[in-house]
Amino acid sequence: MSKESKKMLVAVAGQPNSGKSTIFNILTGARQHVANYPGVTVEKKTGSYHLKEDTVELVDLPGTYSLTSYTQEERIARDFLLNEKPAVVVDVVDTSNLERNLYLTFQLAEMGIPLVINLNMMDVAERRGMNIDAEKLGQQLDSPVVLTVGNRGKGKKELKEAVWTISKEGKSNQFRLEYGEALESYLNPLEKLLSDDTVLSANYPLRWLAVKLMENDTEAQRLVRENSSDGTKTLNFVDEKRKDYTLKHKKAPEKAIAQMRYQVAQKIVEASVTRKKEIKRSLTDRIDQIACNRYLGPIILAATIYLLYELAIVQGYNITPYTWPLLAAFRDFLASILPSVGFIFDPFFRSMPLWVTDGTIAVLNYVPIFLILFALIAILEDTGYMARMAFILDRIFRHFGLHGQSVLPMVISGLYVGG
Amino acid sequence: MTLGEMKPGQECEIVDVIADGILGQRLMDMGFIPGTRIRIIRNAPLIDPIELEMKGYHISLRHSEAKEVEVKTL
Repeated sequence: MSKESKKMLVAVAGQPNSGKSTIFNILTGARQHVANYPGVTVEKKTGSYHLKEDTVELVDLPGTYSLTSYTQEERIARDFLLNEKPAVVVDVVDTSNLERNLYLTFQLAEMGIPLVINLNMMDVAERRGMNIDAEKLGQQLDSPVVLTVGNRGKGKKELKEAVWTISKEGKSNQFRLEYGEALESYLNPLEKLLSDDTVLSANYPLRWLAVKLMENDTEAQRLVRENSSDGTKTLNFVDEKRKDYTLKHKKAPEKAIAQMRYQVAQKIVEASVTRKKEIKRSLTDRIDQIACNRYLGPIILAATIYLLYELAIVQGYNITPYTWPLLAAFRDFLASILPSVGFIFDPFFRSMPLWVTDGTIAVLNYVPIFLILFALIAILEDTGYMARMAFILDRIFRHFGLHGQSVLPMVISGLYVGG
Repeated sequence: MTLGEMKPGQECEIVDVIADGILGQRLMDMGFIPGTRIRIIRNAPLIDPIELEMKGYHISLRHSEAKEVEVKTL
């Protein structure tokens, strides 16, 4: 066993649109495996890479803004961190939205897992005039900070190094968010009470559990009920404390907690970021004025969908007369080398490959259409127009119980039917 | 007054998030915290949703969600 390479579990966490998938992709390359989390339709991407003598098993957690137990994605991310206990979590941060992203970072840190803070999309942040003191930021969060530009693969090596280094140190994250006197006078006794419970203190980060219970988190309550011998007593204590706080401060504890997180985030950002005048935003704003305009917006949207139809379906179909002969030629070639035609019945070894080929080329015939369509959709997505389409169409889609983001499946299926 | 009543171009400051449960939590997670300044950018062509700017980023909310945020004008 001595010289065998070790496997190290690393999770990639981050808010939606932080470029988390891109970071996951550049770290693992093509060695990926996509499945679902057990019993749910949330995608689970795993991959691996080698560094020095170790194999790193990377798991892409669902993108979430927070780690409450309200949504499936958040519960999955949380359960994974609690139960699988990864050695390191890479927290992918959209640097241009540092303050909001830190809100999640705090919750990850509270779980006591060693973090690598990955300041991603540094190019966007720089264009917006942000200048970041990474070292200062790292000190405040008790975590190494690595700068990357995911879509250009910048910082990949440094990120791998940082993960490796921190996993070798093997110490838990010492960052502790101070919620202020008012809340701490409730959180500290609660943490103390939880620490008396041997099962809970052996399995869960108690500070995290105390905060979650104060937030009235149903999953945290379940953990206590199922694992603690006098769980009911603890939960009654929590309930009492929550009522007491609400009465005293005229505010639900969960609101005060969220507020404190943002206050601390703001402080950290102020201490580690300096801003120059931003350069790029004004251009986006001017384009938005046209693309989301009351009258022009819908016209541009309709024109875009028509263009999608015209280029992908109509023009794509016009290419098929050129590609079809190639496919047909392949079939003819195959037919010529297979056993010859029988008098009454075709031999099985002739008909079987031909059926398969016929089926395959019938689908391959549509490849040009798919190629054009997906290339155009990639352009819409990357330019950010897809989000504007969602913005414009949300009011209509709501009638069908959908939201604006349903625009992509609607457009694609609409084009297919139309085509 | 609530965020839902604000008109494009106006600026306001959050006083409180009224909603509880998942909507309230999500709004707070996204940065709707008392004291935060908001600028109304525009309404969508069909009036709903509205686009806002806060904390240096843009966010869209439906009016039904925006009316859960209590604000005061600046």
